[in-house]
Amino acid sequence: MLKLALEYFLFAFVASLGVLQIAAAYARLGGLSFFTRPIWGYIFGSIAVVGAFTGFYIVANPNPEVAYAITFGDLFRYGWSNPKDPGIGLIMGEGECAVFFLVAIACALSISLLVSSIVKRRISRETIEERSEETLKGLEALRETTLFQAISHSLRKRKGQE
Amino acid sequence: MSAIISADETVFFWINGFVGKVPILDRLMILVGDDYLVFTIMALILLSLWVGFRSAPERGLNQKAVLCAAVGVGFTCLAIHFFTEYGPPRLRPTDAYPGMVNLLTYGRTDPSFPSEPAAIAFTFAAGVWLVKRGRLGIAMFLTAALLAFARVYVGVHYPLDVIGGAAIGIVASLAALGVLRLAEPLPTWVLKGMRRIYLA
Repeated sequence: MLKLALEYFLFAFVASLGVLQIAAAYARLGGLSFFTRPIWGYIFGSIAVVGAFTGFYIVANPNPEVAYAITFGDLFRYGWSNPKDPGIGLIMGEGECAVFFLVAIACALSISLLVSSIVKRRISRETIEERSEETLKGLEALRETTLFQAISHSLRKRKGQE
Repeated sequence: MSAIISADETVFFWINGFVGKVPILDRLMILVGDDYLVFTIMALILLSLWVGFRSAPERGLNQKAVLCAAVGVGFTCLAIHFFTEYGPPRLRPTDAYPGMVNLLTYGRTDPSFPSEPAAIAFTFAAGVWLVKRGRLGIAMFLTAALLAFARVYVGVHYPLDVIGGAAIGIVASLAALGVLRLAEPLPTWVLKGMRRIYLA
């Protein structure tokens, strides 16, 4: 199994999830945060970031004695099976890390938006209707609405225009 | 040229000669100089800049800084690929001087010049600093410099490799900033498009 690739992906995913929660708490993006009170966002985010780094450097072994390079393409060629001796360490390098990291961020962002949309589905619809169009654009829209509500609001608006 | 190479190797052996004298420093340098730590921290900083803003002007500045760094990383990867494919292959210190280098991590097999980690770290730092200035950019530069030093300390790069990598990273970020300015209003359209789907 391309163990290090999976471990790095998990590390980047959990750390990204933590950073997103901290940033959402700082920017008061309620529609991205899992919590209603920002302090919980800071606490959860800090634990996730510290946990991810600790887990990766203690449980995984990013600096093996012997290593060969993994590319993102290897995943398509070999799946998660290790084409080399399982005793040989696996290493990616920064160029490949960027690809794994982008995929991890995309997953972390999707999970954050999905979970916060489910957890905060009770945000009042009236509040959304009352808000100006400018505040319902971009990430700012997530200050007081969830992603699902913002999407349904814009779809309703488009339907109304037709 | 040979005088420069010789001076570079002298500095390398002087720095690498500290290995084993302070065990805690060795451990710290292994951690900082690995392929993941600094890269991941810097990428997480970019993520926090993208999402963490309190006003529209702050958001605009942050997201342009991230865009500049991201485009810069693309240029850096192209430049590194060009150098490693077509540039003169410089052997890693452990291959050039077997048994003489204190290697603290696994031996790499790709060319020594330029240093990819240093290039990418400096691209991130320069990308943020060119757009946002301020303490964050300076802190990222210091972190990138620490990574560059650590790569020499652990025995995987010569000083000139990391200096070359840093120069490539900074030039790539400058080029990215220039391209983003020349390509206006395309970057603004990209950000507007992302705003429509609640991603920016």
